[in-house]
Amino acid sequence: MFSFSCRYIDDIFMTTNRTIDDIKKELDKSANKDINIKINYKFDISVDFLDITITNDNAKLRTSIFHKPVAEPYILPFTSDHPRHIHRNIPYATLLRAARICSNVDDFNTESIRIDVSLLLNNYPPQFISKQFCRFFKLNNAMPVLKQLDEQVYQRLHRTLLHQPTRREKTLAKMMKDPVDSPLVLERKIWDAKLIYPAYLFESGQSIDLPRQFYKWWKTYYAYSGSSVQYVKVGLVPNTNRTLESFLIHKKPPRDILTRMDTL
Amino acid sequence: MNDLLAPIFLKVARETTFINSIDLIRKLEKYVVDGHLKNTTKFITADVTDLYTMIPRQGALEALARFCVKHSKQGKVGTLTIDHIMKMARLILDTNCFAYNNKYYKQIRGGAMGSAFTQVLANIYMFEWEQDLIKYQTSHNEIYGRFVKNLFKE
Repeated sequence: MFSFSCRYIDDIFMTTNRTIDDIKKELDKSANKDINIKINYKFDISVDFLDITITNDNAKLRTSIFHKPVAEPYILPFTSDHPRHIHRNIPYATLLRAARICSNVDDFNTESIRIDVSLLLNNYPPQFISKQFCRFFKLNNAMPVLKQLDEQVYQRLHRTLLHQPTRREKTLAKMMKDPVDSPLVLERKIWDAKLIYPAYLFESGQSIDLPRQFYKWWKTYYAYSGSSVQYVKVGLVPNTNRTLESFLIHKKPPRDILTRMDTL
Repeated sequence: MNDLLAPIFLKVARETTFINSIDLIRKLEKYVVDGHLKNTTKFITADVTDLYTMIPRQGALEALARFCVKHSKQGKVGTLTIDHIMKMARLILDTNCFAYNNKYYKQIRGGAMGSAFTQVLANIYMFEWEQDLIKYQTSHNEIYGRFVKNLFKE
């Protein structure tokens, strides 16, 4: 249910106040000018596009999340061996997406019920879910939405979150700053000697306490006051175990077929 | 190549691309605020069939050359000349081979589905194609936008 229905770069969206014949003529003109590009189009007062449903409700715009009929309520199971912050982030991130997309509080409510049920189906404990839901509304100053579905507070929440730049947009903004004169990709990366990110294999169980012990050990034996690495910042990065998917699927052909050039 | 060209493409085509659905909702809400949503307004969705594998190689390379000439500065992007970029583009398209059932194959039409460069090349090709529609839509104060997925790896 959280999957995006994104395909490739071939999805076009338009609005129109022209007559159907006018716009059809325009679209067909485009469709016929290049034999390599074939388009299928349709129009309506309500359409599904990417992961949203867009409706013209008597000159009022209504947007909500579109779920493909075949989408299953699968999310990372609570029992999966991942660092806990990943599980904590899921209710938060899904609510955030719902609040950004749904233009009215009832659609948002339907969506949050859906999120709640999906989390339960994936073995997230009820108490954990309530706590994370609370965290979302508290951090965004929107408790009245959680308590009594307050429409006004919801409108403010929707607008604020919608206009907040997403993480991708921040990355894009950086890359688009001066792409012709100094493309980011051609810049030399400067090695920062004050930062280290060692990776370790995460496992709940015996090693769950590893980061805490590591930082203690690092401070005592390496970054003690007066040491040359005293001001070096260390951030442990947990790597998760191989998934069954990565274990069983080998995309690259075996070495011998890649090097056996005589059969060409 | 993708990381070199995609930022330029996005900067040039920003007005008519959606990088996600949130981007589209923002544009729609502005459309409403500007008073263009009437009770008879319709929404149109369109998709292009098999875009990646349908792009003609020569046509796409010509579009890329025009794009580079128009948007480079003194014939250069960073330290690379347009000539370098075109040579690399041809190299990518001409060396797309795969092995299947003990046989080697070489792709001769379109670009590889998973290749990041194919994406930006198709985008540049489409950008020329869609100019008429864009002009038509903007002259009537309407939205035109095409969804562009994951331009960069993060």
